[in-house]
Amino acid sequence: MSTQNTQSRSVWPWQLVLPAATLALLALLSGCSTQTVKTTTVAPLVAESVSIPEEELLDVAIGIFQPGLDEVPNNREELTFADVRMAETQFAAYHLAQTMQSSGAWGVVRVNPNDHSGIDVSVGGTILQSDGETMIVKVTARDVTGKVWIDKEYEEVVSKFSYDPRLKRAEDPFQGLYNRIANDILNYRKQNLDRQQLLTIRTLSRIQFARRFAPQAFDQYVTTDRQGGLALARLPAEQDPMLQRIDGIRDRDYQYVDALQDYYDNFVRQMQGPYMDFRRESYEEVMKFDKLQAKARRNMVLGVAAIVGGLAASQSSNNAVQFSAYGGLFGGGFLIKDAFAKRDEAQLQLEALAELGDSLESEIAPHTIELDERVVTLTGSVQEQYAQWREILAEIYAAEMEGTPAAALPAATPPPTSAGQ
Amino acid sequence: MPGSTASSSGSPGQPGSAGSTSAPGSQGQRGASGLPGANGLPSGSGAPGSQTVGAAGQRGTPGAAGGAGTGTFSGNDPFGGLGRNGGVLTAAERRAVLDAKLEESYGTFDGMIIAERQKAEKDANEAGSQVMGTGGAGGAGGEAGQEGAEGSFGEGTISVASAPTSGAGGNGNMPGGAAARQGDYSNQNQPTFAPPADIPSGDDDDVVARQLREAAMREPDPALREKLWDEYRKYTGLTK
Repeated sequence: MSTQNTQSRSVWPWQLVLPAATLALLALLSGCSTQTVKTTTVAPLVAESVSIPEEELLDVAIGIFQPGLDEVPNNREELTFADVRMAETQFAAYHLAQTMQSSGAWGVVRVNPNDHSGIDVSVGGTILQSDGETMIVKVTARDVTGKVWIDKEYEEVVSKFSYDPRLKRAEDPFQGLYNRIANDILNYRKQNLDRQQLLTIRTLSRIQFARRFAPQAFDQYVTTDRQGGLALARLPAEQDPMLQRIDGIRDRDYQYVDALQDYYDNFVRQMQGPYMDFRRESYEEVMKFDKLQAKARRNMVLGVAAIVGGLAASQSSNNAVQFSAYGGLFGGGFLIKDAFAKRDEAQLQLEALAELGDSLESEIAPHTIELDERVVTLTGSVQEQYAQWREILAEIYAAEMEGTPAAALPAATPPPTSAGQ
Repeated sequence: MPGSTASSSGSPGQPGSAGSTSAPGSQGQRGASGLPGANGLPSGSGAPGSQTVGAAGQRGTPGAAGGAGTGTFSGNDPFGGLGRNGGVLTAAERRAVLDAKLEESYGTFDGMIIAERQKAEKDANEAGSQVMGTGGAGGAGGEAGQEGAEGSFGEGTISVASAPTSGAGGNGNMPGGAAARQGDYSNQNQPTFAPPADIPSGDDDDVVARQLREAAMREPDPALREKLWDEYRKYTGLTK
């Protein structure tokens, strides 16, 4: 037998296998698509089914969410619009407040952009991602003692059916996300706080509010540990005149916060239409963009691999190997060309998205500016008044302390015990 | 004694209105703020800081030492020229003057907030579209929100998912006159109920009367609503 015949009956050389395998893989992968299971099911909101005594109902303040623009992933920067995100920070806070209030498990739940030191439970959030398809927020909730209730990220991915007008869904597409946040906060309260602790939180928030206006009178009632956690040292007398003056101020603070809710109400009403349209339309564009980007990336990788394999195989003296090398080179070249074409298409999608974003920004920017101006103006006036009240209370306190023997001071009562249950 | 003759102490604060019972999913509305009584002139010889009416949830103008005058302050000194026989005010007298100043500023603040809320309400009415339906602080808002938010997304209506309606009773437990914690913010979607025939238009209502009127008009429970109207009648001096 000649050497050539022996070679023709040997195992295929790698120079033939590599381009052939590459071509086979190309054929397989080009027909594949990523499967993502999405659902239109909304996590239900857990409602309180039993009557909660009024004194145990905790008030909640939701701060305006942080825009999270510094945390936008690189591959999402072009899909993020700063003005839209700023509007979303208020929208999301408002929506969460409405959701929590709907559960019937809380006292008053309000969006409050100010100091939360006199509030039972304070909630804050950061929007990490928000487009028509995906919303990721990081939420932290803590009570007035400083104890953190929840500190986690929530993600919701919706399907295109969430925007299908034929389904007549009245809910926000991301309602499930808000429901889960509300449920977790409620769950913490139910599992970790008994009546005594709830009463303590309520009392402590009342004293904390009082400290903002008359620290000289109320600092003595609160202790702070090394971690900054607060606790009641003792209580003022219920009939303490200074405490009653503070209660009058606190009522007015509630009124002020309610006025802010009116502003947020109007703002959300004004923006929700254009915002919903933007999310529905951008959903499609984002999906197309992601698909095109993924395909472009895949084709580029495979195309390069095919060319490398083909170049290696073209060095062989075997005719069959050389033939498959040309297949690899040709196929690889085609894939790379297609990858560039897909990138160009993706760029067009991006431009379409940018147009949508610009359109929404121009529509809601005036409302955002108006909201900011109103909030700032009212808050400024309110803070001025608060400063005057602090002065008056300081003078009243000084007058009360003047010539008052220590024995005549109102007797302080110890913190409430469980005997009150 | 400088200043006008002291008159009777300020009228007692109005009790907080009873909270409403609620539809499932809500704890119901807390009683509206028991606002302090109308500014009464400091008078009498009430103990420093004493309250005029002591019912739970009520706040009256603190009784003040007599002779503090009507708060006509000279220059920037709230105490200028008010001492007995031109001398220095006692601590109690100073407290009384300061309390009066505090009460006066409450009225200014209340007026500012009411004006802002009226402006926001006017803007909302002009916008005309339905706000997001939700439970809010009202009992029936969740369901109303769901019902009221029909329409495709193209119309831009959204409602927050309210609590499930079956088996999820969330009746509020709001004793009448509960200590107030809430302002009178309520979702714009809440229905309003026409006042009884004997109730006038309310154009000349003061702050307290207006609050009582609004609370009564928004109260879905008929029994509680009637009680609120009774309070309104009592406050405005109407005979039923």
